[in-house]
Formats: sequence, structure tokens, C-alpha cells
Amino acid sequence: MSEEAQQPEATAIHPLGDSHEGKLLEDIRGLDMGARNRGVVRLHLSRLEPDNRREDDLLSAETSFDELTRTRSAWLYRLRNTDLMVIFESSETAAIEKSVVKLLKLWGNDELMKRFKSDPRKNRLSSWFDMNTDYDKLLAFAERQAAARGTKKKKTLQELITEKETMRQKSERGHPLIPSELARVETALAQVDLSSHTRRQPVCAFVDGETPETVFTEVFVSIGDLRKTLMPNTDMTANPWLFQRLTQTLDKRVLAQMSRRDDRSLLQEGFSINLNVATIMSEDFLAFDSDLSPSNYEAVLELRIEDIFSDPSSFAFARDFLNERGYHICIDGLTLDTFPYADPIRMGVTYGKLSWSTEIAGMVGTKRGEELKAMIMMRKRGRTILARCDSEAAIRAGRQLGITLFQGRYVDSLIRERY
Amino acid sequence: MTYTEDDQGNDQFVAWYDLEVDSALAIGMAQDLKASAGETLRRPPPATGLPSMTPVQLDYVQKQLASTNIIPFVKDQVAMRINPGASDAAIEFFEFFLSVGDLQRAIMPDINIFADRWLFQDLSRTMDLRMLETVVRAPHARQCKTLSLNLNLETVATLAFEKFLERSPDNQKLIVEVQAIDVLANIRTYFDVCDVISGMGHSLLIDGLNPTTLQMLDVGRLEPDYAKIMWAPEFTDLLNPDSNKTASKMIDEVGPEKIVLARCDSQDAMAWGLKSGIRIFQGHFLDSFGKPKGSGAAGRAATR
Repeated sequence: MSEEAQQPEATAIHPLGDSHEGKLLEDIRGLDMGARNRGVVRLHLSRLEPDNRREDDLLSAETSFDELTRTRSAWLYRLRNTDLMVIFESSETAAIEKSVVKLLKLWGNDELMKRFKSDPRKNRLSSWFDMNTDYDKLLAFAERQAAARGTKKKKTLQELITEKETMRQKSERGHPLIPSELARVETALAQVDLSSHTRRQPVCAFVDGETPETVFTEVFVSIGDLRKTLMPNTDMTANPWLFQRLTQTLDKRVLAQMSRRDDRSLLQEGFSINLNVATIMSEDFLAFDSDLSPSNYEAVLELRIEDIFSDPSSFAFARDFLNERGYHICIDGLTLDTFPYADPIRMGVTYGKLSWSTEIAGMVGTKRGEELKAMIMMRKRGRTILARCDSEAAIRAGRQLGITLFQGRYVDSLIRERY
Repeated sequence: MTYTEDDQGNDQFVAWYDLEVDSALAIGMAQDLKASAGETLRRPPPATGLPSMTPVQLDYVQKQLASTNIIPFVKDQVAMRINPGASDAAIEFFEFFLSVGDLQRAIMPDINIFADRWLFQDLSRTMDLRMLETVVRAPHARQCKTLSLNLNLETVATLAFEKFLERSPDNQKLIVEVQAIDVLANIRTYFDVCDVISGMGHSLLIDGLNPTTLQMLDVGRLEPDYAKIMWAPEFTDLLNPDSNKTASKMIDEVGPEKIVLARCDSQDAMAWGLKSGIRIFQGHFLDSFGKPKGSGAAGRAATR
């Protein structure tokens, strides 16, 4: 064990920095010429002495802008080096200055405040910009930050342990599922009425670039709703293995429910459902399948990559059977990190579903973005679906990356507008 | 090529045993060793006809496992680096693993604990913690220059793992063996663990690969230090390096120098591997090459 490798570095990394920097770039890019009547202040919290940079201190800096961010007259971004960036309506300049003065006082004893203690504009804690005149400079900064992502420093073992501990303690969804609870939940799940937790969400292609056309509709059980009903104090997904086991019980219920539905039109229009490989190999699926002729419409089965690799031979067998029957397979739940490893062509499936994140917006136009685009273009036969699109920015970024299929709340709203 | 005693002529393995468990168990284990060599942690034996473990039983097994003495179930197997040019061989590492078959017979003889992949995967988290605290105390494991352990990625991010490293001999190298499903389910943790492990001079191995997984997954892109492929007789047809371009492409993608060909039980396996450019081998066929120094009882059993 080398001593050197174990030494933690002095500069902290904010855990939310990555996603916030992605959001910052997305927001700056989204500001049209006419909407740039805004100011920007960067607070160099990373320049403070280590004793003044504790979690509480950083939090008090954030909360001093609470009032303005709540009313949406200011937007706050945490940078990876723990600095803060605040974009605000020019009309709120005085309020922002007041908040900055408060912070200058809070850290009055810090070396950084030796001079210029009370002038909101002249101090070493803050840098001020005007979106109208400094737009290019700010955009370049945000792009640089986004491009530098992925070159972050390597963690040490101590940092990794601390990070996982913190994640466990801070989970807002309660404690992880344990085996004794799983037994109880499985019993409850076998009886609970799923219909009120069942959702539908279309996957759409944009014809002529503007109009969304439904390719198929995903029918799924809202895990969030189910958790609230069955075990409000438990984080059902924190233990991936027990959660995966639980989904097998869920599969059986969903198959039965879909077969029973009075309104079976959906099954004829094109649908997708989430299943485990083990379920596809079971009697339950054969019963479900016996009523369908999937070669006449888009019938998609969504599988998770870890499930596929838990038993690759069973997957290969199930895949060949499904192909013959006319089903399509979609690899579900991919992130930017897993996407490169889930090559639909290599795995013999039709779709790969990537979840939208602001990090993706940050990649457009960068080297990483070009690599992602090349990968998406190469997989034309195994098409990429961009899921969880909750903004127009998601669709825009997706299209710039060569994606043609979209799903998410924003797509839902476009469909609603149309009908 | 086995070692029965250490430099002072003491049989450390037996001494360790006397301290930890009763001698009847120790003798039983030595006798079992040959029979069970090659069985590894995450590769369950074929279906037993026993009923599958339920979540309630998993809870029970977890609790039992936490208090059971697992020393009798800790096994080891050598991995050899073969140099065909010079016709010689050297020990690459020793894998230490928990014989789950034996463990099941001891804790839950009437239940199949492997039947449900996900419940077993959850159980393996407790196994990890027990292995870390046990192996670090075992003299024959401490003697190994390089040793490998099957672990879940999340186990690396625990104080138990940190403590294991602190208590390990200073110059010992560790290889962390992880499963592909663990990597794909926890990919961010995987990249963090790779950084952490290599930063400390240790290595990472992706375990349990076969032709199907290699076909579907770009293992090379994950950049592990080692990738373990399980030999199967159908390899000679499936991936004939002479006639089948897929084979050499897949092996090149991973990098033949990184591959450990495991479960080698015959000359055929070795020949296939060497022809494919693979140099590190593990399996019954090689077991007689080495036992960890100091594992007296084990060493003798293996050469009988």
C-alpha cells in the first residue's frame, strides 16, 4: 500500500458538481438573446480556509439564496470544486448583493477577507458577470467544465468508504430492503391491486422532426407508488439483488393483469412490458403469449442488463425463442456509464433504452459527445430510445446525438396537446 | 512441487487449526480437500433436487453464517503462468474461496441455497465479510505472494475491507475477483473500485466469463487487470482459434495476456489456451503444481 496514493487531496469534490455543471451548461445554452438580462455571481468557496469549508458552512452559503431560488428569480449551481454559481434576474441584484455581504461577514475571520470585508463587489470571495456582455465567456466556462468531466481525480479507499456510508445514511427513502421484509412484501405483492399503480407511457418517433408518433406504449407498475403502499419506510431498490428477486413476483402479476384486461386493444397496438429472463422461460409467459400474435404489431419486452448477464445462456435461449415469435427485446435502464456495454447488435436485440440526464446535454459538441454520437449511429439497427425526457432540452440534445426515439413526461405533454 | 512445512519445519496450517477449531474437523477437511478442489465460490453445483431457499430461510442462513466457523470451508486453488517458449511455469496467484457446497451441507442441508440467483447474490455479501476476517488470519494465505478473493464490489467500499488490507502482510498483492453482473449493476462503483485497487498496487479480475458473455459484452473496454474464462470442452468447436475468427477476435478484444483460463481439467484445455495466446491457467489439471507454502495438511492431501 503506497503512502502517497493514500493521501487525500486538499481539494474537495462536490458530489452534485457533475450534474449541476451539466445543468449550468444546458441553462446557459438555453438563454436566447432576448432573455439575457441577468447577472451571474461565482462564489469561490474553494478559496476559503479548510476550517471554514465544512459541510455546514457550505450549506449556509446555499441557503442564503433560498428565498430567490424558490421564487425562481435565481438559479443556483454547485460546481465540482464546491464553488457556487448563481444566475439571477437583474432586478434582484440588490438582494443578491445583500446575501453576498452576509456571507462576507460570516467568514470575516478568514484570510480571504483580510481586505475588502464589506463591499459586495470588491472582494476575493465573489466574481461578478453580466449575462449580456459576458455571455460568450460564461458559455465557454461551462463548456470547459463539462468537457473536463471524466478527468476527475481518482478516489482513495477512505473516500470511497465515506461516500458509500454517506449515501446509506442520507437515503431519503428509508433503509435498504432486508430478506425478512422481502418475504412479507412478496406476500403482500401477490394480493395488492396493481391497477391503480399501473402507468402507460408512449415511446415516440418524431416524424418530419416535429410531430411525435407513438411507436409503442410501455405499460409499467410505478415502483414509487408501490413502495409507498407496501413499505413506506424501505428503500426498495437500494439492495439491487433483493429488488431483482421482487420483480419476478411483479412480472407474474403484470402478465396476469395484461391477459385479463377487458381493454385488450393496447396489446394489439404495440406495447412494451418489463420482464425478467426467468419469467420468459416460465409457464406464466407461455400462457400470456398464447393469446398474442406479436408479429402483427410492435410487441417489446424490456429486460435489464444485469438480469441478462446473470444467466447469459438462458437469455440467449429466450432471445431466440422471442425472435421467432416476433417479439422485440429492449435493454432497459441504461445510463451513460452502462450504455457503451449494452450493444443491441452484439446482444441480438432491437432496442437499447438510455435514461436522460443533464450530463448528456453537457456532452453535446464535446469529444465525449462525438464518441457517444458515433456509437448511437453505429447502432442504427439496434436503435436507441432516450427515456425520462422531461424537457425540450432533452429532445434537442438527443437529436443532436442521432437519437430518433423518445419517451418521458415532455413527450407525454406533446402527445396530449395533439389529441 | 508442494510445500508441507515452513522454513522452521513447523506445520503452521495445523497450528492455526488447533487454535481455531477442533481437530476432527481439521482432519475431515484435509480428506475432503482433494475431492473438492476446483469448486469455487460463485459457481454453484448443479441442481440438487432440494427445495429452493426462501427469503425467510435466507435471513436464517445469513444469521447462521455470521456465527459459524467457516475455516473448514475455506479452500484454495493455484493459478499458473505457463511460458511455452522456455517450457517453464510459475505461480501467478492463489485463489481463496468458500466452498459453498460444504457450507450448505453444514448450515442448511435440506435447502438449495443456489436455486435463486438473487438471494444467493445477497448471501454472498455476508460470505465476503466472513472471508475477509478469516483469510487474513490464515497462515497459509499470509504466505502467498499474491492471493485472489471473490468479492462483491460493495464489499470493497467497507471498513471490513480496509481492515483486511491493514492486517495483510505488507508486500502481499491482492486480486479482487468480481462477477460481470455485479459490474453491470454497479458500474460506477466498479470504476471507483478499479481506481482504488490499482492506486494501492492491487489488481482486479472479472470472473465467470464464457463464450456467450464474451460475444455479448466488450470486456476489454472495462479494462480489468485480468479476465477469467471458464473452460468448457465445446470451446474446441465453438472457438477454434484455427478455423474461427470470432474466437481470436474475442480473445484479442480482452487481451490474451489478461486472460485466466479456469476449470482446465485436461491437456485439451491447456493446448487450446496456449494456441489462443493465453498464458495463465487454473483447474484440476494444474492443482498438483502448487499449494500455498505452509498449508501442510492441505499440501499433503493434494499430493496423495
